[in-house]
Order: sequence, then C-alpha cells, then structure tokens
Amino acid sequence: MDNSNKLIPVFKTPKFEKVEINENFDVYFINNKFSELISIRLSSNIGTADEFVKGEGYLTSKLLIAGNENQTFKEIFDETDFMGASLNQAISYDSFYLTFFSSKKFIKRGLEIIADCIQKPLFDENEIEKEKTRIESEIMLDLSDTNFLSQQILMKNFFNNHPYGLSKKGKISDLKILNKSNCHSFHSRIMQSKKSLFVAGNFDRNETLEQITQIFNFPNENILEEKPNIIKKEGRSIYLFNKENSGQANLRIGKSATNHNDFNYPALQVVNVLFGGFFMSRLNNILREEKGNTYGIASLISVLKQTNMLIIASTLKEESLGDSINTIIEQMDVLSNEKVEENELNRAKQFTLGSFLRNSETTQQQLNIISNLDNFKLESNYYDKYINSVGNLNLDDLFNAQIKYYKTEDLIISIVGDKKAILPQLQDFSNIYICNEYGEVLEKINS
Amino acid sequence: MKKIILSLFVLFLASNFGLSQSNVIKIEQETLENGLHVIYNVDKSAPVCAVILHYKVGSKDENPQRTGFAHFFEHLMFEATNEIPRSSIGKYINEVGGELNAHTSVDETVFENMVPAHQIKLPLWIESSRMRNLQVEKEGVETQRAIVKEERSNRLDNQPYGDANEKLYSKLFKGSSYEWQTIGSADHINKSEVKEFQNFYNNFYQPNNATLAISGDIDVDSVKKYVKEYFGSIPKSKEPVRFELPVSDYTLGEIKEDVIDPKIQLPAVFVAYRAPNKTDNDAYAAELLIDILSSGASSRLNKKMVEEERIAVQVSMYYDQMEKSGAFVLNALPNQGKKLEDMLEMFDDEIALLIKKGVTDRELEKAKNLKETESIQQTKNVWSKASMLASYHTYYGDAQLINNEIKKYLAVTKADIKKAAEKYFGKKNRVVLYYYQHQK
Repeated sequence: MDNSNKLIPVFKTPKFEKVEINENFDVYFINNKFSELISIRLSSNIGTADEFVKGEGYLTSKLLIAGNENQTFKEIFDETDFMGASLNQAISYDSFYLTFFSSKKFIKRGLEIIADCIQKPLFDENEIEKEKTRIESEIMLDLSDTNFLSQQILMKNFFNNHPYGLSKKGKISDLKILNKSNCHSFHSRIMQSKKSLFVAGNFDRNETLEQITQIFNFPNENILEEKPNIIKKEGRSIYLFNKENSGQANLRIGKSATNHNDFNYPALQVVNVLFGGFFMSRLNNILREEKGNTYGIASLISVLKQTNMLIIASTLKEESLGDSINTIIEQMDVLSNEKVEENELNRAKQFTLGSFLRNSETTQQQLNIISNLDNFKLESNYYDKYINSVGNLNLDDLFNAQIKYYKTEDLIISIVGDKKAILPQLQDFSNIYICNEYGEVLEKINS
Repeated sequence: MKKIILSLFVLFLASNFGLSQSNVIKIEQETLENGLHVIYNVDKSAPVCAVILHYKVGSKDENPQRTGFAHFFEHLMFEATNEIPRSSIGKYINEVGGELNAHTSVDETVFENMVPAHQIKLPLWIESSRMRNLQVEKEGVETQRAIVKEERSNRLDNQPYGDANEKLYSKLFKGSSYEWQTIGSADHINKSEVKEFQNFYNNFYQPNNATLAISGDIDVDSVKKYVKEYFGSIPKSKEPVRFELPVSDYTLGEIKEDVIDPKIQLPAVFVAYRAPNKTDNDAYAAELLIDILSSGASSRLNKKMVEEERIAVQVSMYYDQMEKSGAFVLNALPNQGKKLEDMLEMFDDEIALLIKKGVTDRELEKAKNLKETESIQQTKNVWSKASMLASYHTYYGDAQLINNEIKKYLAVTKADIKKAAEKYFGKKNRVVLYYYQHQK
C-alpha cells in the first residue's frame, strides 16, 4: 500500500485574538465554542536564569500558590479541588507560568484565583519552611535519577557559568540560605516582567476581558535585565559521573542548534526527525533494532530563549556505550557529508506535518501553540509559514542544515555510569573529565 | 481509570458543569462474522483519526513458566508480516504523518495508531496484516529479546524503587497469574523456542479475541467497507486457551519487609492492599475512596501527613484495577528525621478514622466533581476516546458506558465509601515494604 504521496491536510494556526492591556501585559483569547473546559495560563518572561540568588525562582514559584492575602494554601486547594479544577505553577529557565484548568463554569473564579496568587502572595514563614523541606526531598530524588544527572551534567558543561548551566532547583546548600526576602525579591521581578494571559475554551469574550482589566493590575514597565552571553566550548569533551554498579549507562550528547527565526530552523527540525526524532529514525533503527544496545534513543531540539540545543539522549547497555557513542558520531558524520534519500526526506516531512495536526485537538494544545508565539516573539502566522516551509523543503535545503548543524567537532558528551566499565571503552577519545553529580569537574583523565 | 462524560442524572452536577446532550458520544458498532467487534465514533474536532486494536491477552494469560510473552508480542508485532518487510510498520505510519504505539498490561495488549483522517485505510491494513500474517521467526525474535532485556534493565532493575511493584505483587497475588509483572522473566524469554512464540500468536491474536475502535474525522459507511475488506476474510478461530491461575482470597496476613536499594536517596514506604476488580460493584466507591484519600492538595492524606503533621514530604495512592482483582497502592516519602514506621502508623490512624466516621458530604461531592472534569478532558481526544471505547466493550461488554458510567459514580453514597474502606483496608489484607538505602 503506497500512501506516501497523499497530501496531509494543511494545519492552520488556531484562531486567536491578542489584546494589549498595557505595554507590559497582553491577553490572548482562543475561543472554542465546543469546549466544556477552560484553560487559563498566566506567563511571565522571567525564569530561573534571571535569579539573583540560586534557587530563589523555584522556591518563589512554588510559594505563589501556597497562600495569599485572600486565601491560605488550604483554602485555595479546598476550593479548587472541590471544583474538580487544577491549579499549577511551573518555572523554566526563561519563563514562569500559573495555570488553571476547570469546567467552563468556573472561568471567573479561575481568573480571580490566578490574580490573587500572582498579585497578593503572602510568603508565610511556615509555608516557606515546608516548601524548602519539600524541595530538598525533590533534589534528593533527582540525585538518584540517572536521567536527571546526565542532563544536569550536560547543561553544566555546555553552558559553563551561564545560568542555563545550573539546576533550576539549585543545590541543597543554596536552598538552606533562602528566606522570605529572596521570595519578595524574585516576585517583584515577576511583577515587573512582561506578562501574558491566555484564555482558551468557550467563554464570553467581552465579559471576560472586562473582568481581566478589573482584577489584573500590573505595572506598566519592564525592568528585566539582559542575561549574560553564552560562551561556547571549543572541541569535543566527555564528562563522566561515576555511579558504581549502575548496570546501564545514561548518555547525553549536546550541540548548538539554531533558533525559531533562522531560515534553517524548519530544515533542522526535519533533519532531526529522521536522525533521532521518531521511532523509525536512523539512531533508533541502528542502536535499538539492529544492535539491541538500548530500549530507545531520541534526539530533540531543546528550545531556550538565548539558544537552542540539539540533544541526543539514551540509556544504554553499559558494555555497548563506546560502540554506541561511535555509532552516533558516525551517523552525524554521514549526515554532514551526504544528502539523505528523497523518500526519507518525505517521511520526515510528513511526520512533522502530521504532528501539528495531532497536537491541535484540545483547547490546552491550542493554548500551547499560541503561547509559543508569544513566548518566542513569533509572528502570528509563524506556524502557517513554518508548515509551508516544511512542505517545500528539498534535499539541498536539508543538506545545508546537515552541514551546518551535524558536524561533530564540538560535541559535549555527558555520561552517568560505572567508571570501571566505561573508561576502557573510551580509549579513542581525549578530553575526558570525571565530575560530580552537578557536573563540576573533579579530575581530567589522561588519555 | 474508568472514564465518563456526562449525565443529567443529578441536577446539581448538570447545572454545575453546564453539560448538555450535545456532549453525548455517538457510536456505531458491529461484530463481523469472525467475531471481531468494531466500534465507530465520528469526531470532527481535527482532521485526524485514531485506530485502536485491543487484544484480550495480557500477562495473566501466560504459562507461569513462560512469563513475558504478551509483552514480548507487543514488540514482535513491529517485525515483519507476510505483506510488510521488517522495520517498516513504523515507517509506513510515520510517512503519512501518523504515530503509533502499543502497551501491554496484565489483562490486555493494545495497538494504537493515529493518522490524518484520509489515511484511515493504512492502519486498518497494517493491523489486519499483523493480526494473522505476522512472521514469527528467529531474526525478529532474537532482535526483540535484546531490546526487551534492555527495557527491563531500564524500567525496573536500574530505577530507584524500580522493583517495588514486582515485590508487592509477588506477595499480594502469590499463586495467581497476577503474581508476575507484565515484562516477565528474562530467563523465560531467553529459553523459549520460536515454536512457542508461534503457538502463543496463533492462540491469542485472533479476530474473536479482539476489539477494534475507530474515532475521528471519518465517514462511517466508508470505513465499514474498509474494515470488511481488510478483516472480513480472516477466519474465526477457536476460543483462546488461557493459562490463567485464579486469584484466590488473600490469606497470608500482613507481610512487612525491608528492602535495601543502594540506588535510592530517600527511604520510602510502599503498601499494597487487595482491592476489588474493575467490574465489581465496589469499584466505583473504591475509586472515589482513593481520590478522597490522596487526590489533590486538599486530600485527607496530604492534609494530615504533609501539611499538618509534616511527617511525610509526599504521599500518593492509586487504585490498580485489573480484570480479576485489584490493588490499592500507597507510596510515601518521610520528612527529614521521621521514621517509616511512624509514617505508616499515621496512615493507619487516618484509615481508622475514615472507617469510624466515614467521609463528609463535601468530600464526596468533591470526588464526584473531579471525576466529571477528568472524564470530559479524556474524551476530548480521539486517541483516548477510542481506547476507552475498546476497553469498555472488552471488560464490560458495553461501549456505551463512555456516556453512562457517570451514573455509577454519582450513585455512590457515603455509606458505600465507608463500607469499601472497611472491606479492603484491613491490615491482614496488605503487604508493606520499607525501602532503605543501607541496612538499618
């Protein structure tokens, strides 16, 4: 059955309306009259990379839903749980989010709750201590997770002293010295950052807008400071955290990639799909299906505001690690020297186009698409153009991206596993460093 | 978890959530002559469709000396068929912009496809091909043996607390087919001959042991023709022979064990109780009971153990519903300096309080509201909707439960919850594991 030449229906960016409340606060409406549910998200363009003191962003973001002038922690969750709603917060390196999800009936109350959380937090001492204890446990759980460790070590050594190189939660020693003033300090920066409110679902637009203008009162100024520049490392380096008797080896490989607005970005995404971005990718086919070295391997373009990264991630049979790294590098070399086949390009294009259709069904998915436009300052028709670009990619376009982004000279490789089993497999490599669980170098191995 | 959409059964909830008849999920069903049951649902939210093929075979149907076969077939089904070369099934789906997946549990093996709606024929053709024309041969078997071994290493052996369920269930369900984990024994898979895999395939992967559910932007009449074209000529098989060792009453009393796991950073307690099976009348009350205890920051256990007494930093509970039995599983991490035994004692006190005084009206209403929102959310996606339709038909013989099951939740009373707690939360009905990084 040959279906490869049938065209996929064209993805269209969900319809939305943007209302500028002031220079520092935008509202986005995504109206879906068929939805029984409502999604509300408040985002701020401040994240853990904007901290003055390590760990304050993560702690503050947790405390913003732990009590305010109008409700205690207990009262907030007694109410939202009773509604069958969910109220959550999240913080990334670049952004902070508050989200409320419920039946459409509770839209007004959801907006009020979010407004109270962001505008009137209490930072109660008792809640701060509780949250610090909880985060300390989270950090300890992270330190037992080899996936987390290998990612942390990669980020540390890819970004050096840039904030992207530090764990979002900080270390336990960072956490211990945080107090109420750190929370107030970080919160004041959230208040003075650029913010956007997204409302998706079935609602009365005018009534909702009136309510928003009444209850949200953000300063009309943006004092966000520039983040430091990223200093890229030259050459290929391996960072190994020794975890004795680990049984398997956890691997990350990182490399610089380009950002959304670069004309090569659609081509890079499509190359990534065929390289390691889907089940039938080159990497998964060789390392899983042919060699049985792993249960799965994936590559992705990790998106950060200041830069994007190509990351390859897998947990591998320990004795196969050296062979697997060599295979990955060989495959990158092949990509940076040879054009792909037409049918492979078509398959990756189709998969990319299909993924947009599959991820635009629900109001939450639609909200995510519009939120990305705002977050990365993209044009309102960015995704429509992007889809068009993907559809028009040819082998030469792809090859340009392959040459530019798949060279293997500047790879940062992080490994978590048993040093005794792993080092003998790395004899062909130089610049091998033993590091601690935070990626800090302890010693260099002589090759 | 069983899911729902809406009902006008209780006026409060109907008005509370503003639900209407327009939310009723319309389905068409047919059973082909070979026994394959097919469910169709039209959903034009997006130009995509989900095709779910649900086989009624899981690890509980396996020979106890050959565990892991059902899961192994989840893998083998991505190998060659008579019509499809090796490593091509994923390619075919991906190249039309679709994605595919599969999962295996103790009771089922499910193959899941999602494609642009105009490509509906492709997953139907693939599923019909691997239903009866899979090439169960040495090359594919050897490849998947290595992958499954890595999967086990990845998911169980090298994860902190990764063997907790295996240890809990081997005791809680001792002597029954729920005693072993779905991934099974690496030794059994390694020892098995290709012929044994072929026999397993011929026994279970038959139209009369399967349900096909299709949801999405489809024309039902056309799709019915495709289904007939691809599946209609497959002959009906005899009923599958199941090894199934029955689940007898739990008689081992309370079991407590220390587990030393050098991979962990924090000690933890895991507790598993025998619970009702998914079709038992108690299942609805049991599900609301677990929600009241542990769902959300305002749940009983979180309020008491994490917020007020601060004996734990994290408490979670879930209800594992299986066809022939069930389990309530608790996991709790202690606060610094707190003992696991004290944490368990506080949990026991909360259960004793619930059994003595029952739950409040507000708690019950909250649990029902939560179910309502969850169910609406789950049925907004064609993939989960098709999965639910196949599951409702397979286990309850009633796909319409996707619209009606809410009534069963709304009918649960405080007395039902109290009764369920009394019945299933006995200390003699449980296994307790204390996880430590080092010997005490």
